[in-house]
Amino acid sequence: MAAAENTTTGTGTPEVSGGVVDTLGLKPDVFIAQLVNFLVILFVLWRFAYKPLLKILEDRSAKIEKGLADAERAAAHLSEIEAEHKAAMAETRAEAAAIIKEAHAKGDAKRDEMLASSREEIARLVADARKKIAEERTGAAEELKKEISALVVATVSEVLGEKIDAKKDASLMERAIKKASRE
Amino acid sequence: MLVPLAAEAITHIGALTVTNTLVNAWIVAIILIVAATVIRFTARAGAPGKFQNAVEALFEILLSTFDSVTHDRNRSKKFFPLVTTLFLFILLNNWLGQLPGTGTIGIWKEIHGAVEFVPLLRPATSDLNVTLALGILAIFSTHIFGIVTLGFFRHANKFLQFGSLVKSFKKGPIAILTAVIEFGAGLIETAGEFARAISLSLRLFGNIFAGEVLMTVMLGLFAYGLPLPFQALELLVGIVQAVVFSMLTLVFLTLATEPPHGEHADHAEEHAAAAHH
Repeated sequence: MAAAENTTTGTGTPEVSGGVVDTLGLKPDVFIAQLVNFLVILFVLWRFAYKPLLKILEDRSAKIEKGLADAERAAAHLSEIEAEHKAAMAETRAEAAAIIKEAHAKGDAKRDEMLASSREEIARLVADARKKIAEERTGAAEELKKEISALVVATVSEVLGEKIDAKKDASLMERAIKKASRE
Repeated sequence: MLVPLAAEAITHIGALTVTNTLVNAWIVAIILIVAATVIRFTARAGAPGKFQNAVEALFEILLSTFDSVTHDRNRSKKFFPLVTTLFLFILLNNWLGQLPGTGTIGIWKEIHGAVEFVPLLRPATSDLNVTLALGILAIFSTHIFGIVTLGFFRHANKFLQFGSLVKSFKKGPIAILTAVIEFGAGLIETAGEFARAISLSLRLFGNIFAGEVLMTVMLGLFAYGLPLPFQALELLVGIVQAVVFSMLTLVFLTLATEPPHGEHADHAEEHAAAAHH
């Protein structure tokens, strides 16, 4: 160290005087050259490296953030749609079930109604037929009565008008019956 | 022969003395400028390449570290260019001192009548011209940032508190006493600014210069193997000093851009006074 000091200060350089400044090698031209050197580096790094890279970093993080937000929104949207879909399906199913049920009920009612009406019809027809049969029977009976009485009257008068014997009676009877059956 | 405190002149270009530390500073400048140019012309917004990725990672780490000091991403971004350049420049210069040939490749030159060995390479941070330039620039920048964010008078009032002194005359004797004391504190603060610049410079210079001396001694003792652990140590010192310098600058920048002490209290008092009247 002493040797070094001897070489720089010992002989006394003419351009810079003053012990400490000289010993430490402070020279205005070197100082300024170093300062300018650093400022140039600062400027170039600023323009070429810091500015573009920090912008890229910022843009990228913004992009990623946006992508994440978008994905989240899409997921929320999807689940919303799914829920909607599910609700719609459930509603449709319920509606379909209701329609089927109603159709069943309607069909049952119709069938019951038809059964009832046909039963009624049958009952009416049966009653009609019965009535007709009864009417016809009474009619026939009366007619038969009338016929028989007429026959009896005719037979009696015929018998009373002629001489009655067994043979005559039989033929008379036969005639009367034939007459009656013809009529 | 030991390393002299002053950087040695190699040649002269016009009026400029080209010292061996200036050669190193230029090498660092070329490395950084080439790297920046590569970034400038290859950086893309999509998937980054390997180099871009590495630089991006470094920037992210630095930014988040700055955030832990400034507590404000915007301020971190504002200070980023200066502090990062200081960090990279100092780090590269410190580490370049461990490059083989530093201090050993040189020319024989006649200085003051005696022929002496002058190394061609010497870490720029072992030259007080460089560290003082950086220190003064750093402290100067803190004042520029302070003035830009706070305004000239508010910033100046931190140091030469004439404004507070004048205001105190309206408030009575105790306020005047406080203002006088604060005026004195401001003067100390002013001297402190010069002390900061010098301490930044001398700390860096001292560490790296000492490292150079140490390496010269070790190489002189036994050149094989013996210097290795010390070289590892020097790499550590190199990054520690780069971090210390840039982080201190960041702290000073942060302090300079914060509103002055007691300003809030002043405003509150003024409001109270206005309410009374």
